[in-house]
Amino acid sequence: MATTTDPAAGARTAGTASDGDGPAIELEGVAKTYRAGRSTVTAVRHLDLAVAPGEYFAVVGPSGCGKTTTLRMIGGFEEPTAGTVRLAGRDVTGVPPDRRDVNTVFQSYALFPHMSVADNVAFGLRRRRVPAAEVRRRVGDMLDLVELTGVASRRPGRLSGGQQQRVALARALVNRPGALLLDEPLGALDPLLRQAMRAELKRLQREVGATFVHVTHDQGEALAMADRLAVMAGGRVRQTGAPAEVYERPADRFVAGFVGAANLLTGTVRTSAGGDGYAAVDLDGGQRVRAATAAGPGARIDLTVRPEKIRIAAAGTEGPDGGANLLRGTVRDAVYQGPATHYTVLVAGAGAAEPVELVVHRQNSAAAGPALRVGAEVRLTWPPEHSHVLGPA
Amino acid sequence: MSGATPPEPETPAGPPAPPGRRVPRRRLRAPDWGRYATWAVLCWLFTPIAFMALFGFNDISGRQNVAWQGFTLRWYGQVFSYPDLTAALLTTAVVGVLTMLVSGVVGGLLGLALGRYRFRGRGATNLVLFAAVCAPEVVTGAALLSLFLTLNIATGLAAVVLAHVMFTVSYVAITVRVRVMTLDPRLEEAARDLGAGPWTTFRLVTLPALLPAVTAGGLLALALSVDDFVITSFVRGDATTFPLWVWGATRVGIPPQVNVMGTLIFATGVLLAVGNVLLARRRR
Repeated sequence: MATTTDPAAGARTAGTASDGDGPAIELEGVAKTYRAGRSTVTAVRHLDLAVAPGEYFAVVGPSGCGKTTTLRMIGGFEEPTAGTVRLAGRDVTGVPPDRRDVNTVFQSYALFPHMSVADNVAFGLRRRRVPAAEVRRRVGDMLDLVELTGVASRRPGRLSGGQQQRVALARALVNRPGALLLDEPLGALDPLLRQAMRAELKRLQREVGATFVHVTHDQGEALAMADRLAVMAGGRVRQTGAPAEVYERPADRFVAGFVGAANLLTGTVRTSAGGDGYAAVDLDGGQRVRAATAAGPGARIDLTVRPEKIRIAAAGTEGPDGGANLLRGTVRDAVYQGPATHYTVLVAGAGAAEPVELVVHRQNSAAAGPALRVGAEVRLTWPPEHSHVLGPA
Repeated sequence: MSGATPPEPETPAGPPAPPGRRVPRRRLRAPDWGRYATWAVLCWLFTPIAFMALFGFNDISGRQNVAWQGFTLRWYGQVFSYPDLTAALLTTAVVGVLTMLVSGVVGGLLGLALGRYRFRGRGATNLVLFAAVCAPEVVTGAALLSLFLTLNIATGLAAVVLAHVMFTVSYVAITVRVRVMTLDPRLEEAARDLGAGPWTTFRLVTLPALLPAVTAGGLLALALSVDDFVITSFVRGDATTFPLWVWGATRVGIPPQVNVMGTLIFATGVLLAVGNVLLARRRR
């Protein structure tokens, strides 16, 4: 596995998980089942995951996919039913949370209500018997870093949601953990603040150079923030990769539909790939497109085209299509979104076949032509490398 | 506010009424029954106590403290002039404080266990707690006496404390259990996450969060213990508590010292209750 080690990671204090080239966090064959009365519920089934030191790693999936359970097994709050958890190469399966070199930012923040902000932040250092003078200095530095110096003596209950969030971050980061675990850290904030905290979190991660594992159900958040992300569903990892990789080349129908918008098409290979690597595919609607696949004639395949990869133009404005896929259809719906307009285009099928609906995003840039009206005849083109063939879902 | 919001059609001109209040015109028409009812209930509750306090200042000459004779502070000066009464008050104080401490610790731990963990016998324990609250005191008292006699446990001071803990521990457990159930379990996880072991977590995070509830439950136990007559009378042996002495004195007339002591007990209770509320508010 390629370790994209942040240069800042090496600059961290000795004794943290950055030693060596091994992953900061490694899950191997991890599974978790709960007993609920007589039946058992499987939260996580056979999970393999490795997070490199200094990496911003996101785990994203719909609710109930096992992402929080995964995080809690790294933190030590749940013990896996099977498999091994390693932190910086050390097997910590069965080790309680107070003896693991990771810290957690809880979704509810879980700040100690009867302690001041400064005492909250100092809690971890005092447990490790750090000398009082150093505690004071490090707590002060950390409160500076999260811009909370003015509220050090206040109780957390008197702070706004965004401030509480930053206290929770400071309380975890001040311990310089081998990895920081964040459970839906922006979930309780209002949308505007959430945007600001995305940048803030990234800045913090760059400045302290720590490994971050960020659990979220918001795929936009995961794409925007992560160096690498894992998409989970039904207790399994469906795909792991850089955001662009996961978005451009989703592994299956689930990932394609969950991460960003996608046009999902089903068809049969007509002729296998020629010299250019593209096979001709007959869609179930009768239209023909080209896509890169090794499958032979007669094979059933799923493919996906991202809405912004498709060029939409009024019929009759014919240009060179340069071997692009070309479909003709009628605009059924147009939704103006500001920077872009989202079109739903009905592509008629051949004979009795069901027509196919494609969603197309067109930037409302200076170069864009006049808006297309509902009912307009249009032609859709896209280069065949953007008809991405999916694995079995 | 964006300009797209349409103006509220029903907003009258002039200063807006504060939320939760009716327009004054309407309030004049309907009498404020809520306020009258509140005062009526307060009078109902406090009139007897006011009478008790007042008759502690009654300037009587004989032993009959039933008719108002005039004002004096004499009984406050001679409050300890009946040695039996003073001893009974002391017994009540000792029993009360012991009951509060034992019930506070045992009930607090019981409440924590019931609110936090699922274990075999949890439902049964809950049921027993409520049964102990609901059971008529006469039944409990008589049953305790037979139990003590069967087990050869001597009646007397220790038996009284044992009995008081038995019937007050439920109140503490129930109060604490409610608090535990509203406590974010992530708080304890956060402490563990930051390097605190189980005991440190309990000492630094769980206990401070539960302390107001434990204190409230303990004060309730103290009040119930100081007040108890029925159960105490069964298991007292030769010990005499304040309520029992007062009951015994009714035949010959209750001296005004009883009123003085009653007033002082009431004042102590009020002070403790107010103190607990203020402390809890400061901790927030």
